[in-house]
Amino acid sequence: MIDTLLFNFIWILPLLTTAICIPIGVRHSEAIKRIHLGSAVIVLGIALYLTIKTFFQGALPSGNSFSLSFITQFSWWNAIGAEYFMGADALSLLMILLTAIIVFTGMLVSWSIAGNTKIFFALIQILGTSIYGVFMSFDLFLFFIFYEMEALCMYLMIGGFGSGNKDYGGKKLTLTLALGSSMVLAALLGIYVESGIHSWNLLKLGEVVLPMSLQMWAFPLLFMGFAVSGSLFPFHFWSPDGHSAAPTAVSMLAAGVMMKMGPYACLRVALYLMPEAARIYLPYIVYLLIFNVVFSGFIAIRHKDLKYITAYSSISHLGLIFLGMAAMTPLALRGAVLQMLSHGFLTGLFFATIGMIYSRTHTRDITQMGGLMRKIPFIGVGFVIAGFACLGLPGFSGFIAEATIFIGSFQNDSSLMRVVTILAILSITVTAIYVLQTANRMLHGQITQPAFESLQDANVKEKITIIILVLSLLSIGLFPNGFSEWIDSSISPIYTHLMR
Amino acid sequence: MIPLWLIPLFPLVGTIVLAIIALSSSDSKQGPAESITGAVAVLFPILSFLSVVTLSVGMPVEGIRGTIGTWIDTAAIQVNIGFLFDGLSRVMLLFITGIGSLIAIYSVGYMHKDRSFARFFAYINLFLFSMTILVLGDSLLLTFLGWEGVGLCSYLLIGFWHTDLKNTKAGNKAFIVNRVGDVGFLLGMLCLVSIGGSALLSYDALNAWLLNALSLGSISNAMPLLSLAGLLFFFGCTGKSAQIPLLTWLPDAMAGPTPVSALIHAATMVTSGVYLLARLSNLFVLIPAVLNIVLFVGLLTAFWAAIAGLFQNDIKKVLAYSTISQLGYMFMAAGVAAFDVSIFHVFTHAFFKAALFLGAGAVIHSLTGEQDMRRMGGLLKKMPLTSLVMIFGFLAIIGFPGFAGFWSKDLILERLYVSGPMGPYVYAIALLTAVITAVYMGRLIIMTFFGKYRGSKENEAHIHEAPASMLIPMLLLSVGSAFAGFLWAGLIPGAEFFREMLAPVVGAAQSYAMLGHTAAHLSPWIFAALGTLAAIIGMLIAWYLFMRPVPEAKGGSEPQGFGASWTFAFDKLHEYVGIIPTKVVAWLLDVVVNTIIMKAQWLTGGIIEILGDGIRAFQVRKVRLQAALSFIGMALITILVLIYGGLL
Repeated sequence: MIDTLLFNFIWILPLLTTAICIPIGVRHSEAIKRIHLGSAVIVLGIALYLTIKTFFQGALPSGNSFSLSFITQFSWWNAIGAEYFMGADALSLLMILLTAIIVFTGMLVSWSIAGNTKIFFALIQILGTSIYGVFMSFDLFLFFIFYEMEALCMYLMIGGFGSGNKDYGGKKLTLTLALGSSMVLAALLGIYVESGIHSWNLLKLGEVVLPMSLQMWAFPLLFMGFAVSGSLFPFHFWSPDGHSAAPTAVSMLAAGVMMKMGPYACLRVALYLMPEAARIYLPYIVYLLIFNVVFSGFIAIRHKDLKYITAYSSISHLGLIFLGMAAMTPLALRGAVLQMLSHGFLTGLFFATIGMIYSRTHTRDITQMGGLMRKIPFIGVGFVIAGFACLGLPGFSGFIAEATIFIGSFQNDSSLMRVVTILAILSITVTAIYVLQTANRMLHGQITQPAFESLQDANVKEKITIIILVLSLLSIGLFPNGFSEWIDSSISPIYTHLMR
Repeated sequence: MIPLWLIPLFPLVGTIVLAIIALSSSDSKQGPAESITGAVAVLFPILSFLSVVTLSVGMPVEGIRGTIGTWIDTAAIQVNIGFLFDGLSRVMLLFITGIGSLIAIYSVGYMHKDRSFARFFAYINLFLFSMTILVLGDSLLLTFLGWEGVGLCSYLLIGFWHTDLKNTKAGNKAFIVNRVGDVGFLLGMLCLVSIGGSALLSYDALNAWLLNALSLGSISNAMPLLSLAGLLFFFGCTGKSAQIPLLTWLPDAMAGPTPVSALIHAATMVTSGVYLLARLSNLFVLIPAVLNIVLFVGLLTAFWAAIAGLFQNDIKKVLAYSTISQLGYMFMAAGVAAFDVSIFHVFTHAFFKAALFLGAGAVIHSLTGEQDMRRMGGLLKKMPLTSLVMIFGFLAIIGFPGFAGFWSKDLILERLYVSGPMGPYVYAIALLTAVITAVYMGRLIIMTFFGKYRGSKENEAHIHEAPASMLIPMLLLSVGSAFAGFLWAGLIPGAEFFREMLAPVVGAAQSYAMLGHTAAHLSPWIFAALGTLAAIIGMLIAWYLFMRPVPEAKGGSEPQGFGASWTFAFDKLHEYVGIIPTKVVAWLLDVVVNTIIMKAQWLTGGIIEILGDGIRAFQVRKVRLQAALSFIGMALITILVLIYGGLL
């Protein structure tokens, strides 16, 4: 009972903290930041506690339907059959934990952000709430509300606190995401109406076999709509401009967590509710993936702006998530989930270190930098670790996730899947090129500008950020097995549906 | 019996301790005390070596196995991760940890007063950890883990002095070229997975599967994929072991500190390709076509690198090309299914090449960083012990009778003649390569130790013999270069010790490969005599050609003219096949695809704007109309939805 209450607090507490902070004046910004950080720590603690507790209880038997813990369910809007239905299985809990870690570290790195910190921290909290909500709600109406909230917060934060071409980047991001949301909404309305059970409850909808006439048009809309936030080609273009305009914490949250909401929802809703259409359409989506996985790596080689490089690298890695889904084998699906987690931590670390470097050098152009390893070794090592995790070095989570996806998708014996898998494996060379080239230009050699001589290495907050994220990467990389089996308890209902 | 995981555990602990020392002292000016750091750095490799020795003594014939966990555990697939300590891994581990410890001791002297003393040894320990994992792993996955780990350490240590971009670029090159090879390794694993599921990634399971399929006769169905897998694994090996076509990174890798070149880029890491072939010997003997490719790639590499070695002026580059050439010999041996002989050459090569590199390091150390042989000479009297070590290494590498390289190279040449395809021709080229080896190694010894000193005056003043911490490992290794060969020769009690040690692992494969071969009846003495003759002729040529005044050094140490075309042939090839196409593709994608998408985006934006303008025309300042319109619209949509849904 207590646990269920705590669970609901995960999304309520950030909002509550924001409300508490409203009466406090802007000049007490240090106090406001501390209060917010405190609440983020509490949320992280709750998430960690619930995850570990559920993990050690062992996987609940899950057959055809998701086996949820911490269920809170009551009718909320009778007229349309919407419910307040919160719960979590392994996948949700892991994503919530990932979000909590990224929110916490994101706050740490934005400690000295310029502008109205009160509003900035409040927006981080609301953004956090919306993301928690997406991962917690199993009622599609509620789910959609949370899903919509996040794009709005993102727009305000980029517009208010971003850098560079922030107006353009923010609008591009928000409008593209809104396009995705409208596609999702259309499909969800269709599902609601056609299912004929007057309910948005995901579990109940999952028991209904939706008519093929609906699936044939709703699945592409729903999948592509969600995939917009996962930056699937050709809807990837918002991500480089959006990330480069966003402040550090927003980049971390956007690339680390928000971009995972798309694939998460594809798995949880699109594949689960409309498996028959998924089997028809996913082989075509594989063609789009080739752009994501292979081509965006090549594009990253050419870019000089750190955030563009990382954004294209993210597009490439998110392609692997979709590859795992499209392969439709249990192992590949598990790999897709592992990749969501792994890439969340990885890209969080990337954007965190980039933010730290940017706040010191005031440039993100790698041709302007050089020899930074001498002056800021801690941050430099953090960046290099992120780079090696990115190129799939064994020991870090990236390798585990990618190897699982590759082996899993090779088990699908369609020759298309195998060719794309081989292409994806070939692309690891491209990843190595842009990671090493970037690290080399930026960190090695002689110091290029006199201003760099006086740079200070990471402070305590930044060190904590880097250490937490590196430990997360290592923990999945070194002890994948416990995680993996647990993830299967969430995957198997989806797989069962796909095979029905 | 001590547990197997102690072997990798010790260097891992060493890495962690040293990393903490390095990180905690990154702010202070002079860094941590060298004595404590050095002691830690040397202690853990030695402990690892001692555990290997302890385990070696009581090892049963079939080896020791220990499971440490599961990799993939689903209802359908289960892949365990464990260690396998058998004859093959025992030999490899003995010299990896043994020579690793010696080189760690040497490095304490060599890296004296370096700013990043602790960081260096953290990397060295991490390397030993990865290398032991590579060799101990009982499945391809674990071997791949170590394979990548040693690649990482190689990258980190080549670019160790990272303020010079030349070094870090060499590190990048090594890593990226190796990545290309890794793709082969990964795809090879996927081929095996698609033949018989993930279980085949385990060596024991693979061998059992092959044996079973062979006895059932069902192997022919899997033959195309098996051949492909073998070819892909070999491609991976050409990356790690610097064979054609992926060999260009090794000469550049000499940018790292010399002990690193000795340990990683000569004695241990680069031989892991040969190890992998021996480990997969049961697979490779079933696909003779791939083995023939191995043979000819090895032959070509050995010959090419020997020629390229003739033109180098940088003492470490000569040794780098000689490493590539010797690795070619090892692959030749593997190519005629003489896996035990190839591992034997790995073993002897580890001693004499490490001795040569450490000797070269002592020379470079005493000349304060001078690497160009044209600015050396006459060091025999000033550094007698170092000269002795180098000359022992020289005699071993050219195969002078009695020295380590004599036994192993002689065996390789003999097997090439007896059991290879086109035996006599391959043998002739390999023998010619042995002559060239003696020439370029003779040139190195003559230019460094004989004649007159040609370097700068400042350097001449403080030429000195290396300190004891460097000399003792060098002397031990030179003893190894003299006597390591006797382990096969049977002159030591327990005759044919080496072959017996490897027989449980590769014996079955080798006897399978020999089926139907009629061994040519030639006395082994003939081969020994011809090999000796080659060494002596090569030495005489070197003496005749290079015992004369050396022209004064101008410019960089890179070879010019004819020498450059040999040396950089494959760099050019990589540029045309790899680098330029990558750039073109990147340009195409970035410029063309992105432009198209941007255009599409503008187009959409434009259409929406036009639509917006049109609607705005009758909406301006008519709030009531607007409200009415939106109300009607919403009502219509709701009714439509309800009707469509069958609720009305």
